[in-house]
Amino acid sequence: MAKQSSEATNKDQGVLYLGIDLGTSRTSVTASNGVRETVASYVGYPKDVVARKLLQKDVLFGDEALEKRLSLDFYRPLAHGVIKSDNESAKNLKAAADLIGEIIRRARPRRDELIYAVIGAPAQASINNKEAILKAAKEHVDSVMLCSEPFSVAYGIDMLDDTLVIDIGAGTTDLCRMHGTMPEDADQITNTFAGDHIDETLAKLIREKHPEAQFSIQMIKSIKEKHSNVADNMPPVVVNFPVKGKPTPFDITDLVRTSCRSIVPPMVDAIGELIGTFDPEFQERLKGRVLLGGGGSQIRGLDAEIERQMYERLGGGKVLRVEESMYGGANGALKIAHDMPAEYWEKLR
Amino acid sequence: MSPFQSSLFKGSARDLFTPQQVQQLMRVEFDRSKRHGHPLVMLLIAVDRLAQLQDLYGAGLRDDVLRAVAGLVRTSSRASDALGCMLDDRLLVLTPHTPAEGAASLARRILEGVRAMSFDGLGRTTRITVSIGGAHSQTGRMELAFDTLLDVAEGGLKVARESGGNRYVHSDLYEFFEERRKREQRERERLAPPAAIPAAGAPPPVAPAAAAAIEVPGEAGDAPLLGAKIRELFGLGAGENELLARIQQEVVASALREMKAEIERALGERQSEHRREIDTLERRIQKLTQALGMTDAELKRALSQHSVDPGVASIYTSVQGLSSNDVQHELKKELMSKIFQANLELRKQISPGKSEQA
Ligand SMILES: Nc1ncnc2c1ncn2[C@@H]1O[C@H](COP(=O)(O)OP(=O)(O)O)[C@@H](O)[C@H]1O
Ligand SMILES: [Mg+2]
Repeated sequence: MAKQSSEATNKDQGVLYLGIDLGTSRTSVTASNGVRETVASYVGYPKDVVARKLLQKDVLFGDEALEKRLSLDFYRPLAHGVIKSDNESAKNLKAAADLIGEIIRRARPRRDELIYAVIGAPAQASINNKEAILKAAKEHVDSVMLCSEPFSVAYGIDMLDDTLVIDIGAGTTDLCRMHGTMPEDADQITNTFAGDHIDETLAKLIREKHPEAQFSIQMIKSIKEKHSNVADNMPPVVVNFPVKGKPTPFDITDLVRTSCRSIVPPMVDAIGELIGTFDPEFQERLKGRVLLGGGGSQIRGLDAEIERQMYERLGGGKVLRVEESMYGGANGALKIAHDMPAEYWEKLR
Repeated sequence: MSPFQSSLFKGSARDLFTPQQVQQLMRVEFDRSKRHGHPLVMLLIAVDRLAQLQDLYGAGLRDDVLRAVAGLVRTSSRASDALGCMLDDRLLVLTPHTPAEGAASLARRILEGVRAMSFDGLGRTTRITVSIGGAHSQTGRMELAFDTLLDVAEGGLKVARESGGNRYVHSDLYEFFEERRKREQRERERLAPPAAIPAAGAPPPVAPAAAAAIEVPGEAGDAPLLGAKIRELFGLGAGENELLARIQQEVVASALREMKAEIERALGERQSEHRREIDTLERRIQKLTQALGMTDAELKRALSQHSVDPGVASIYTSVQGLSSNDVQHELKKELMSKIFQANLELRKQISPGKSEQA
């Protein structure tokens, strides 16, 4: 049907392209109708009839779900960058499917348009997970493709060769070597020293130093997002925690710095490995093009700190940040969706 | 099966008779009353604006109304030997052993009883009235035929209806109808030698101006017996043909005068009745329009609550698709193909054999 010519700039009207970043902590979409939306990757279902009456909804998403989680069966369906499959796996899969449906709805597609979506899935997603994601997406779109998340981040900013993409998410940090072709397994390293790890480390440090302070992991996460910094001369972080019910100020500056820095050594380990196994001719170029993306890339001073440790251990390096950490993955996925020839889309319908 | 028959004589063997058979029974009863000299009363009852009721609320309500009126007539007539049947849409009642005064009081009970009734149609309560024409056998002056009684009752009913309904009219034109009936019978006998017994259920047509002296309950209880007055006035015995014509003329003239006044009153009443009906209809239209508006608003509200979003159309401002001017065009093309192949492979792994060949 569609010929090679359909890849020309002038694509048929009536198709809405979606780029979706299915993340552990945030799920985002950018669409060819100009809509961009993001929602925290939380899904909640009212626990009982009373809760449903009160909330007047059958399912809640994002921060709203987080806020009302006490009256909800609460899911974080992509907790480790993949759809969790524990004993609650069936419900988790449903939560993931509902989340995908919701983000597509938020892209506000018209009923008369075809929807073609590229979903940036975590690089290490299992075949079962990919199947679940595809199945969920197909209920809402006309054609769908999966793509590795770090690749779509790089594609979004046209850094297709000799670039080392580092996507610092909540559950995982994904490193991916781009060398002008599709990255393979050997080009990717994933570790779990990411946002959640920082939260857990910070919580542990505070508990050790101030056992009397009362806090929840959610409180720690917001403190981190507000004050995250790895610089030696970072501004002081003084926060209030209740002690026996009474708000009490604590200076946790050093603890914040220490926990934020905790992800850097394993990251530089992985950088060293990916560079060390690269074509020697291009190793220097790769070192000079390290690209930071994902929510964790917003840690102040992180680029400088990585550069410092790279200098110490690898003899040098240059680190850049993706401009829009929040939509980097989704933007790239949308670009792929656009650049994909029409006949490919049609074959995967 | 007529509703009248099935309820007026509920539980009686007469339930089994057709209207024609009941009329035959009436004739037998009439003859017996003549033989034994006991009085009887006949009423012909019609529900006012029955056709309009049916148009507005359907045949179901019409039958309910007739059944209810029949029931009321049965309980009002008290006499266990009362006979009743449908004559078209009218109810014909014959109560033996009832004196002339009984007709007016029975009619009054029926009028009042009907006014107290109400019916539910289209979620509205509807009230009805009836018109009644009456006759009795106690004229004491002549041998009357059953059909004459029927004519008198019919004449009364006609005037009652044309006067706006909701009333009882008893005309005293026994003589007039009796004479006319006899003349017509003679005429028929001359034309068709073997005399036919008058067919039941087919009363002779009523002369247009046949109604005369009017007796409305509540007004002047002792209405003058016009026929008697005429006889008095002319000093006549019955059966004198030559003078009969003059009597007829006088009667008609006198009746016409009263009719004219009655008709004017009736017209006025009917006009106000029409105005009331139009008014009611207008109010209902208004209500329906209002309901329609409310439904409309409700729909809009429901739509907005479920936030039915028309969506945002796809545009091509931010990204323009893979352009051949792109410096990395060839590379990107290859990458797209690889992503596609990987996805095709994935489908095969998920559901082998289902995916198309690349
Ligand atoms: N300003 C910030 N400083 C440090 N970490 C942040 C900041 N903003 C968000 N994060 C962290 O980034 C992580 C989410 O990044 P994101 O790329 O959305 O993850 P994912 O791709 O796994 O959904 C979370 O752990 C969040 O706490
Ligand atoms: Mg991500």
